[in-house]
Amino acid sequence: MTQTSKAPGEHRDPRDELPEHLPALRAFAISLTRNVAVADDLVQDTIVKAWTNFDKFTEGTNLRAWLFTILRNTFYSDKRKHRREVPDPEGVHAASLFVKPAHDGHLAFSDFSAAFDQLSPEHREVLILVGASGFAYEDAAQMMGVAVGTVKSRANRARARLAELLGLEKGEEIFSGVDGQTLAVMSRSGMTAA
Amino acid sequence: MAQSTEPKASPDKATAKGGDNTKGKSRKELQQQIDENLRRVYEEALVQEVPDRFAMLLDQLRQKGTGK
Repeated sequence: MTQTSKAPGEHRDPRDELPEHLPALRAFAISLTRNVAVADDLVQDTIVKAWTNFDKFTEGTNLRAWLFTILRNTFYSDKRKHRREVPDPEGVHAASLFVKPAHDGHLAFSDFSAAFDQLSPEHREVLILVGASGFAYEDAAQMMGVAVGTVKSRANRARARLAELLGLEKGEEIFSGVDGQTLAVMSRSGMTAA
Repeated sequence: MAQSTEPKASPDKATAKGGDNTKGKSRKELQQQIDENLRRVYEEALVQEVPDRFAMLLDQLRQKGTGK
């Protein structure tokens, strides 16, 4: 995550590095808002804020984490200001809004996405930060402004809530009754994700 | 001196592995599946093309020379 690809003598302006982080920043925004239009507005606000505050960025530290922090702070302060749920007319997964229990023995991705949409933003945030985007607990704790232990317990609660939404009990044998094809698909997606 | 190179006796390890740990195991598998799906949620968003408006925004900001 913390790449020190800087050649000696080279002093790259973090402003020039910003475009490289846009896809990740946008993916994080989409994960938080679950609405592409809202996410893009959030990314726009984040870029403007970052640009005008670059003097506060400590060079050599994790630029992506800094940008993510601005984005999530903007997201939560917007939410506090508006105090309304953003409707999701053409949202990311408007088509699949209910989850049927996955008692056929595997997690269908559409079911998973629908369950993920139903999580609170705080739960989506922690799961994406530590579960998907590859940040360490320590990085996530700093971004979220909480203790590492809080990140861990929040992540655990979020996972448990997801499992609940998916109709899975904690200790359930989810692999019973899985057919070969499903297993192949799952192991393939595991490969590409790794 | 070179005692540490001796292979560790592992019969107790083997029995622990064979113990009825199925609950913990399936829980771990559930976690793995959840994490795989989380990565997929994130990656689906990650591979999308970034709209041009952001490149234009950066150009505008650069021209304004804010914070320079």
